[in-house]
Amino acid sequence: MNALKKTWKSLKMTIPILLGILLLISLLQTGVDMDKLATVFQGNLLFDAFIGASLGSVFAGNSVTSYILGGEFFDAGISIMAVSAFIVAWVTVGVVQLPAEILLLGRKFALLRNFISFLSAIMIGICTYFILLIW
Amino acid sequence: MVNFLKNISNVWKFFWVICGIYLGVSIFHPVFIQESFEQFIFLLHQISLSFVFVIIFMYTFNVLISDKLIKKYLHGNVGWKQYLLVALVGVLSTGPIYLWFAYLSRMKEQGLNEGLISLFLYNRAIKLPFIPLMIEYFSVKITVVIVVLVFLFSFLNALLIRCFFKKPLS
Repeated sequence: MNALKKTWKSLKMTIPILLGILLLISLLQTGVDMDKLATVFQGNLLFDAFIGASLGSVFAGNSVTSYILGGEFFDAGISIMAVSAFIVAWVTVGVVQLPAEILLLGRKFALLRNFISFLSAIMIGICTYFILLIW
Repeated sequence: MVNFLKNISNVWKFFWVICGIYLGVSIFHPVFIQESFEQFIFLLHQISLSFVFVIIFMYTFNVLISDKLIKKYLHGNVGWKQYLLVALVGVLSTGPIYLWFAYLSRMKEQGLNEGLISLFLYNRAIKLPFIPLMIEYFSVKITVVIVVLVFLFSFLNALLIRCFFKKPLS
C-alpha cells in the first residue's frame, strides 16, 4: 500500500509536467522546418560542433528523429564532429525540459547538469572525430 | 485569488502557463496552434506505452526497494559499484527523460546524491533498442565510438556534479 501511495505521489507530479512539455515540444516541432536545419552549418569544424550541440540542445523528441536528421546532415557533408555533438546533445541536454527539471530537481542542479552536458556533447564530438581519424 | 494561486502546486502552474501560451498564440495563429495540438496528440500517443512502462517500473521499484535501503546504499559517499549500477539502470530505462524527473525528485528527497542522478540521466542517452538503427545511419565504427564515449563521459559528468554539490566537512 505504501508503494502504491509513493507511486501515486510521483505520478501526480509527472502528469502536469508531461503534458506541459509535450505541448512545448509540439509548438517547437510545428514551428521549425527541420529540412532547412543543415544550412546553419558553416564548414568550420569546431564552430559546427558548437552549432550541432546547440541545435541538439534546443530540439527534443524521440532519439530516432536525431539519428535520421544526423544521418541526413552526415550525407550532406557535415562533419562527424558536428553530427555526433548534435545527436549526443539531443538526448543529454534539454532546453525545452529545463523548466520542469528546475521545478523538480532544483535550479542549480538543472542548470549545471545541462551546461556540463552541453560541453560534454562538444567534447564527445571532438573525441569522435579524432578517434575515427586514427582508427 | 492570491490564496488560490498559492495553493496550486508549481508543476500545475507550469502546465497552466503553457496552456496560456497556446491560448494567446491561438488568437493570432489559430492554424499553427491547431497543427501543434495535433502534433501533441500524436506525441502523447507515441509515448503512452513508455509511460505505462515507467509507472510499472516506479511501482516495482517502490515495492522492492525501501527508502531505508536507498538511504543505506545510495546516500552520501558511494563507491564505484553503486555508480556502475546506477549507470546500467540508466542505460536500461526507457521513455523520455522528463518522465523520470518526478521519480528522481523523490529519490533525491531520500538522499540519492546529485552525481548519481546526473549519471542516471546521462546514461539514458544510450538507447539499446535503437543501436541497430544508429548503425544503419552511421556505421558500426561510429556507433561504437559514440556509445563508449557517452558511457565514459557520464561518469565524468557525475563526478563534476558531485564536486559542485559536495558539502564541505564541518
